[in-house]
Amino acid sequence: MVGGFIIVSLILYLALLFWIAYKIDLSKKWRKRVSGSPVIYALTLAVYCSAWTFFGSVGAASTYSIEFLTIYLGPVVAMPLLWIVYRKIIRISKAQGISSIPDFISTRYNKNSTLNKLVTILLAIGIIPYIALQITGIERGLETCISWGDKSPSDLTLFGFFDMALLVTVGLGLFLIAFSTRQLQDNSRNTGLIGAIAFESVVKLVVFIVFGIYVCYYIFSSQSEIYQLIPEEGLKLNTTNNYSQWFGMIVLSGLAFLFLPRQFEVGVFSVSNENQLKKAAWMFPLYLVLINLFVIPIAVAGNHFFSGSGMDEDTYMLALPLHHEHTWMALLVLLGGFSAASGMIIVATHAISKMFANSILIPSFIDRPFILRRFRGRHHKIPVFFRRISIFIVLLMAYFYYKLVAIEYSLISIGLVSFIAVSQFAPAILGGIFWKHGNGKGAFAGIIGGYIIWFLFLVIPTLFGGGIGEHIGFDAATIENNHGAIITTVFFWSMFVNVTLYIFISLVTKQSVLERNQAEIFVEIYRYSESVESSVVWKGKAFFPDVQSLLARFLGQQRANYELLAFTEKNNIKLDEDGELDLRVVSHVEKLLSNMIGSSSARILVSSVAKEDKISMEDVVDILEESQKLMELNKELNQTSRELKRLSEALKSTNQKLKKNDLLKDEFLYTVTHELRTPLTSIKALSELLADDDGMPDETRKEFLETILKETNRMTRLISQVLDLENFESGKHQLRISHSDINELIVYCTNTMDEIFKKKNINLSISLDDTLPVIELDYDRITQVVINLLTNASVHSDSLKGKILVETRRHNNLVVVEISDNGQGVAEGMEQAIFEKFFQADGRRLKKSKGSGLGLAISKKIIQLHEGKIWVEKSELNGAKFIFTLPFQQNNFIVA
Amino acid sequence: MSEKKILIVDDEPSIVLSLDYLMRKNGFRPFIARDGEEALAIAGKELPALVILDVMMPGMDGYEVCEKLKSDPLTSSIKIIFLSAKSGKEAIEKGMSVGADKYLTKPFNTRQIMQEVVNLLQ
Amino acid sequence: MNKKKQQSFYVFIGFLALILVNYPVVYHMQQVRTGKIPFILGYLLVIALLVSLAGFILEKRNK
Repeated sequence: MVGGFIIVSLILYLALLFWIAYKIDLSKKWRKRVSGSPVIYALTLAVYCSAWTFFGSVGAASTYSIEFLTIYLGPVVAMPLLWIVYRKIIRISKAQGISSIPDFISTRYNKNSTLNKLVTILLAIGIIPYIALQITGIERGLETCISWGDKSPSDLTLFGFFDMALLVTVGLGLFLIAFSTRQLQDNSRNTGLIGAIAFESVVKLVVFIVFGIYVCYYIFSSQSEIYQLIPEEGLKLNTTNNYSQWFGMIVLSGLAFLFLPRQFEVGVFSVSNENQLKKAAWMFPLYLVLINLFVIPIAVAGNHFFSGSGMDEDTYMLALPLHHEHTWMALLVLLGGFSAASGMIIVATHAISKMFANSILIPSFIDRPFILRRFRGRHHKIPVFFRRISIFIVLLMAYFYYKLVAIEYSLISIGLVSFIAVSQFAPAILGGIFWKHGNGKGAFAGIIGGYIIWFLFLVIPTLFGGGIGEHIGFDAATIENNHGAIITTVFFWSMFVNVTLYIFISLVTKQSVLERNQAEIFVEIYRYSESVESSVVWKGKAFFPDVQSLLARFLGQQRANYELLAFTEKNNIKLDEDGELDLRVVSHVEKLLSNMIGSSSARILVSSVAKEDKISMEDVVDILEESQKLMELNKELNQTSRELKRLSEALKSTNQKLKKNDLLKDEFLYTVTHELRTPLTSIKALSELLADDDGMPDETRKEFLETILKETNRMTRLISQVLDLENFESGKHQLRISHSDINELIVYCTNTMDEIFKKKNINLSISLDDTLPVIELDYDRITQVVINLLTNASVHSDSLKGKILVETRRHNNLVVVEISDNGQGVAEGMEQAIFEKFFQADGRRLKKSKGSGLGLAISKKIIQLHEGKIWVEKSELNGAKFIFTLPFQQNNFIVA
Repeated sequence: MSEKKILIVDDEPSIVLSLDYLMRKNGFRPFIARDGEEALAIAGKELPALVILDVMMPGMDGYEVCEKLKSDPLTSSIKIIFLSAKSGKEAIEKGMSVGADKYLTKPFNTRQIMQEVVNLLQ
Repeated sequence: MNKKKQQSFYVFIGFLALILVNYPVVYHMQQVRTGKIPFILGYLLVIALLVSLAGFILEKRNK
């Protein structure tokens, strides 16, 4: 095949990736769709399937062993744990602003920046060969295609000058520079990059399936025809049918799947909601099933055609179509392999460069004057700048590793070496989220110990063929021929040392106070996740302007202000523009910065503007207790707010009632003063006339004096009635209950009124029920009521032939008293109103001579206090009939 | 010179008693009305020079009486003094707006009211 | 289903799968020979599909 043609295809494919990532980043709608989609999430997890899967699986299967399947059975077994492990890690990372594995480990263990750097370097050492492996995969694919049928040594340079592998590396580097720092520039995730990775996962799966179908049904006629070619003894589990190796590989792959930096990157730091995990838990195993469906048939077919030809088994995928001169199919496979390799390169480089920048470069340079000078006024460019430098460094290292080392070994063995390196972080991470006593010293020792085993017995023998490994039989030949057994052995011993050291040292050494707090938060994250951002693990002094300008340096003025405002409002913190800052704000700022430039740098920066105090155990306990209380408070608050709402509604209606009462009171007061003014006016005028005029006739003088007296009495009566009413209403007047005969009371009243009745020529008749019992009542008050009603009757009854009828009777447990007259009666519709204070008919005062306007109101009050009722009806005499009832017994008052 | 007629309108007998005496003593001829209707009837018949008018009365109130008197060309020249217990600003303004010449509040000073009557009738 | 129960189910499925794809089960599966397609492949395929199905059911149950 022509090299130029292939290169153009690869460039077009890369351009497509650029376009997809660009389009997604550009459109808000697409960003939302991509970042929230569970399908995209499951597809990005498939970045696990790299060139190693694409080319290497077939190579491994060509030995008629299915050991390669362990690499996928591990994740299948681990998938259900995604909900347990990843969900917890995601919660913690969100709450603590963590964006890389080193940050995660160091945040849990004492916020130790040395540990942070160590983890970063060890991860880089473990992963960079793996990236190199992918370059190797691409290079081998290219070489196979270009040199097919050529007997001359292959020329992998373009125009004799450009190394194609370098060209591909540079292309991917550009992609990363364009799309992996998006997160730093605005608040969005690296959605374009994620979308492109999901796309690549689709490409590699589709290509693999299409190719499998091509092999099974185009080159051969059916799958069973291929299976016929499997040797008599069938498929082995691995070359020696070693079951512990089989088990070890499954566990190793499962751990690697969970803790590879690229898996962490897409699985933890790019997740937007936890439900994505649940869908991925069943979608991803399906993906793995599909991509492995045709591995054995293809490998068997490859063996059928190329066995004994010295062909590298890893290139069967390309050799098959090239052998049959199906150039287009070969190109498709090459693109599929490229998609698998580039996806891995992109995500792994993204992850490693991020930790490299955040843990090593930025903390080392962030407070250097020359850096600060260079980025004066645009400090937010610093993280982007260092991230890009890191990308460059990581890819360069991978490229040199590829040039110098990787080319010598099979795809699968280098991958497994990386797996073991990565799995060394599993104890620290899993212990960190499930075991409160795990501490930094233990984690440190465990990781170092595990890595030493890994380096001595796996890396040195792989790189230099033997070394210390030779003493235990790990010579290069053994590794080459039986790498599975060695991998499992080293995996077991490194993990054994790692876990033992971690647990032992954690148990014999003490946690620092800060560490214990972090341990509590990590392990109990579900309890704290709501409140963790407002719980402070920091004590000291910081001032608002410093912190604000620090944040503004990296986020830009506008976003910094927004973030501060949002946080303080959410947590009800008052911002004092010149004063000391609430510690929660400082914590939050550290978290924000940490998200952007990593926890180490964030810590350096925050401590540059804040004076930190030593934190004591009591402080931590307080903080945690407070966090818990906050949670409970939150629940209570919800309930309380509902109650408050009810209460405020009740208050509102009470207020309306009060307002109405107030209005009534004002009206009452107004009427009272008004009523007082009328007699006062007469008294004043008449007195003035008397005083001025000596020649007044005696008769007139007498009339004047009598009128004055009358008016004075009127005033006195009014005042005493107002006081009476007021006392009844305010409860100052209590009834003085005694056992009384109501009939006797009525006789007494009529006797008192006798004079007046006679004067007015009123005919009074009384009809009393002798059987009435002695009842409980306030004698004086009821007398007042009866006198009042009799007075009213006498005033309103016919002026010539007045008639008044007083009657008592019994009705159930009530005494009924009726007083009727033959006057004009009460106007229809006014039966209720007349009992109101200063009742005004038609809105005007009923006038004079008919009493103060308070008599009936007071009567009503008295009867009500006796738990009786009073009302008016039309009487048989055509006038008014006032009726009141009294119960036999008083419940609310003590009988005197 | 015949005695000037003055109409006293009030439903409070004791006030009428004092005003009646006061007017008589100062050489006027007082007429008494207990409510608005009676007041209009007497005013139409006797055409007094001045009316001393209470505001709050049963039936027609003082404002209405004043308006009617002022709008009838026959009685429109009659001077009107409101004499009311309502001392609020609004009440006074309303009284002046319906055409009263003077608004006095209760309790009143007998000399002052005499003075006003004399002034208005000059 | 509450969170605790749900978590226990996930852990249970994971462990069950780990047991089913290891010795001694795989030993027996590898020994079985029926027809053309190697039995062990079919068996592991079924296990993977079962894990997926269990995950699917758990997700739908917790909607």
